Amino acid sequence: MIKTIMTILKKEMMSYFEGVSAWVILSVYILTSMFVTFFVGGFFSINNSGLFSFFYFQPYIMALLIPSITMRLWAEERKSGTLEFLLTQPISVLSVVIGKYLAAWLMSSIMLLLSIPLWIYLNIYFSADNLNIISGYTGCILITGSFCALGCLISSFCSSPAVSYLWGLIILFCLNVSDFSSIIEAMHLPQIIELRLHKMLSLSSHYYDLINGQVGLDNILYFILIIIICLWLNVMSIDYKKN
Amino acid sequence: MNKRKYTKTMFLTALILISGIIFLALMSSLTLLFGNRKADITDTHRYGLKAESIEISKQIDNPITITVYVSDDLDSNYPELDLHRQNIIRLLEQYQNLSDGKITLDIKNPEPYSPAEYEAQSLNIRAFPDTENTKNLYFGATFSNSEGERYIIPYFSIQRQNYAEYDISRIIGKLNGFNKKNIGVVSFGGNIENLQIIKKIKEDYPVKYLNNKTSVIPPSIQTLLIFNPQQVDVGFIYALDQYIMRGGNLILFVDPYAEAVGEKYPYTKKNTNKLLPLLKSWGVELNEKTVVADTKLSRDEYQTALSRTSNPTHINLSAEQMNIPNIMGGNQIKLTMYSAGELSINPLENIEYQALFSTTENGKTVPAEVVKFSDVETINNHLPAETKKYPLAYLIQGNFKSFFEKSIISENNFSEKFPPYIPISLKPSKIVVIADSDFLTDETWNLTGYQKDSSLYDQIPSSNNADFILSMIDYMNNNESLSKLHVSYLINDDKNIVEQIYSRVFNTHLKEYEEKEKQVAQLQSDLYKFQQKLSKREIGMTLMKIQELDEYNRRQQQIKEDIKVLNYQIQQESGQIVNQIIFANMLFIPMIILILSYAGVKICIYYRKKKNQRIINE
Repeated sequence: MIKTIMTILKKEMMSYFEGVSAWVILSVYILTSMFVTFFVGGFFSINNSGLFSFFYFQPYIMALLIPSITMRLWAEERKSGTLEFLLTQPISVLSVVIGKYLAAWLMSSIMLLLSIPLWIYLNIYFSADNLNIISGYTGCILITGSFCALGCLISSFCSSPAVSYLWGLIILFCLNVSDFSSIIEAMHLPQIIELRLHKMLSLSSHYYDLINGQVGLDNILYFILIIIICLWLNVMSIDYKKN
Repeated sequence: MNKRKYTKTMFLTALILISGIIFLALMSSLTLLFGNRKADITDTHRYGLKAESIEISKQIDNPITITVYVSDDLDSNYPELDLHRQNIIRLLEQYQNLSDGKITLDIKNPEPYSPAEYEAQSLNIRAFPDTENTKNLYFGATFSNSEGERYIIPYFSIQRQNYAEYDISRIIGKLNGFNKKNIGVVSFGGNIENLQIIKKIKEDYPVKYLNNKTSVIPPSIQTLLIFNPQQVDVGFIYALDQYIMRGGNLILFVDPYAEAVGEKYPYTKKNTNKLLPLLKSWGVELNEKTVVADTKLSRDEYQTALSRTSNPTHINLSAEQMNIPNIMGGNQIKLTMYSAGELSINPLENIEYQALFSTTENGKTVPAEVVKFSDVETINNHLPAETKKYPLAYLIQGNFKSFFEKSIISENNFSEKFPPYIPISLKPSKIVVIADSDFLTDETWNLTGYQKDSSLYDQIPSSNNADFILSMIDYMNNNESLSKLHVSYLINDDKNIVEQIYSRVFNTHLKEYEEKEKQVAQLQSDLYKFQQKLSKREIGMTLMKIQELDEYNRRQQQIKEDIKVLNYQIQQESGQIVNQIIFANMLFIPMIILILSYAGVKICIYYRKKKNQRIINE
């Protein structure tokens, strides 16, 4: 199974980097990220020892770019008719799903690597809270993992990459913005339970805990659960198509 | 076909629903299992409770109820308050978790016209309007114990977020076995009742104002604060001596030049301090004729953005100058003093002396008269070459002998009101002598100053002067757990990136800058002397003298212009560094990485293709 996963991962990574898509995505990512960090996030005007200006806007930038990484994973296969060929191969659906997902996650982690010079810069020239930055990067990697899993799932439902990108963008953006407060408030629960529920369900709340250096098991497991459930749904949807 | 599509939709909906339920169930169990426990992954341990706060939470005997009044719409109206609210609630939950069930946390949403809102209003929780000015919002808390004691934080101010743990720990400590003994206050220089420090003390201890002509200090006073003693009566000196003999504690603020008070009350009497012989009998001496200066500690005072003066008699003391390991969790505090006096000790037997804080080795003394009547340049010109470390406050503990040989009150007048003369201390006393009475004034440590409706929880201190005094009072009143409360995190001296760049560039030009400032000071001093001579008619006003005067002014203007140019240059260089950082991180470094990676990938693909071609050919 691992061999299959590695083969799929390699194939997907090659397809990213052989064309121009990876280079365009990486360039857009670094330009957008740094622009937002320096000109919107107030990098120079607040105490940025934990790179808060950089991490704060990452979910929005990821919501913009991750669908472009995941859009073609299943939709392209379906569009070009290679999905049937892939599913008839003597390999498990799970290994294909994991291979494709890992390729997308690796690609988005490479995007994050481009911001490492800023961390080094901060350490050399200014005061940096390295533990906080590590916690922030953990949050970033986890949120990209969740977004990639969601992106893969959306791609498996769509027949064209463009539609997949659009749906991905809408869903990820809504997930960033929504804190489920209207649903929670409608339940008329005591405030402490409302607060707990709000914290439990809101993606941004878990992410901000991580970038602020307040790491709880609930924060990490929240993202891992999203990844597992999305991958499981992805497997189920491909299996459904296969059968 | 339709049936197939329907089945497909149903299948997917069922899958999504099932996964949603699994997700909710797992997240709820996780929350139940692990609650809100968080690890503090920061270098500075920003979010974890300090050891002293943990100790206070664990030692609670009397159950405490914390009721937080927080509006639900707080974050939608004021997004900046959302993280602050989360942090405060998490902080309170940490106390609750540590208290072993002794702290009950109740969170209420004061909806408009709801019982919770009426309750919040009756408890003086501060209301503030929402952004549309349609309803009131609340973010405050009450802390009460089963004995009916209650403390209120009317509003958790975001500017005071670094103080939150200190404030909450202090209140929890006060609700649990707190020694509430009387504090006496005696002032010789103006009305001190409106000082924020006195309000702060009043919040925790009953404060009694004593007349500075009194001949007896009531035995109910556990700690006495004497502010700027001058023109002291013998009767009061006797009262003070006997108070110490009975084991009373004292915090004494003596000063050769009480400038903050002097500015406020221009008619303060000349500082002929009759208390000095009594101090001497305790082994402490104050030189009233000099003021301590330290150029390494001098506080920058800005008249305008470009005009900075550095008065060496206005000093900021930090960790290196402190020696207070037993209180306030160590030395990590900042204190500000204005024209402190020169203290020295002549140790007595069986008395412990501890210098609480001192200047650096670069300490100097300036005549008090010069500091009183001259500007910063003149003070700088009077700084002597020799340097020394000057202690600025002492803690003295032990049994003392009376300064008086016998009672000064006629024996016939002895009564309950006038207790009999005591020649030797009945029990040990603690005396703190601080060589600056401005230490207490709002101007020295408090940025907020006095505002009519403000509470103590609105203050934004610039120094820990008040916290230090409060900790000393706690220490003297056997409230050690509170006196130890850590305050190192109270002052946020973190600079933003631009400030860090600016100070870095400024340091490269520091010598040049100091040189120019010295030249200006020298010129001003020469000009002053020249004008003095003119006014005393030691020299006549000739054409040459007028030209000389013009020349002085011209040179002074020129140097000031040079300083402005230097400031502009520093700003330009800082701006260039900012641009370099943006360019390097946004374009240069990422593009180099991308180009190199692109080349690497293309080379790999080329060789792989070549290899594949060779295999096909073979």
